[in-house]
Amino acid sequence: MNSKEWLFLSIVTFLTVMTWTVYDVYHAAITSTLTPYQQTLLKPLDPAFDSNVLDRIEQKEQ
Amino acid sequence: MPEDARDISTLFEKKEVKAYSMAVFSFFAFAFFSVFAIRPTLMSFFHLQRQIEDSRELDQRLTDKINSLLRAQESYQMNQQRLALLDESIPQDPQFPNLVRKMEGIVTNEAATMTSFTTDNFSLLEENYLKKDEGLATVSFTLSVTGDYVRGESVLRRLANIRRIIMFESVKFDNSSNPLTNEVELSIDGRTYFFSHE
Repeated sequence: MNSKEWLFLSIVTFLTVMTWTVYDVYHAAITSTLTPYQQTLLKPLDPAFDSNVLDRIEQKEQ
Repeated sequence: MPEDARDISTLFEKKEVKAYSMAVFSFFAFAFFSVFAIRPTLMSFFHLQRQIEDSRELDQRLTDKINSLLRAQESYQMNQQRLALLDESIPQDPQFPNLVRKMEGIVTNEAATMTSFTTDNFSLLEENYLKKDEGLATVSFTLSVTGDYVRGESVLRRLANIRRIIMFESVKFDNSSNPLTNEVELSIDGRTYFFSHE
């Protein structure tokens, strides 16, 4: 192998490693670390209580 | 100095070889350190940063949920006395005899006559007869009442206005049996609900 081929090989190796590193780092940055159990805990809870329904039932014949 | 070593040192003295070899070693060195040092460090850094963000979000959303639960508990306590009304609308078991008694009471109260009452899928003698999957279950029924039109309409209005939820699938007024009188036969196909649980 002559010098130019060595240079080409080193650049390709460098670029491959850089791409691999960037991909892994991006993946680590965007992947959620929450467990499925924690995700179920995060489901929102609506505290609104429609008391109009009770009022309407109350007005009906017993 | 041996001849080979002298050849290598002469080779590296060449400007072109010197430049190429520096570049090649730099790229290889950078790739090597990327794999064994830079990549793991950056991954740990971003992973931990993500973990901190997720933990903050989890904390915030759990705090919101606790506040929601407190508000829900407050609403529940405020309406606790009236929650029995929900059981009256959709009871935990069929409570069909109560419903029939109620219907009969309304019909009698309106001076009409209940001529027939049938259910498709329910036995009044065996309440456990109707065991279904957990959730909202229905009981279908057909009710026939005779009386004049105004009383029939009144029965219908009152049935629609009782606390136990009744859905009318069809309502029919028919006076073909006694066309010369003002007596009509009111037929109601309906269904009512209860919460079935194992």
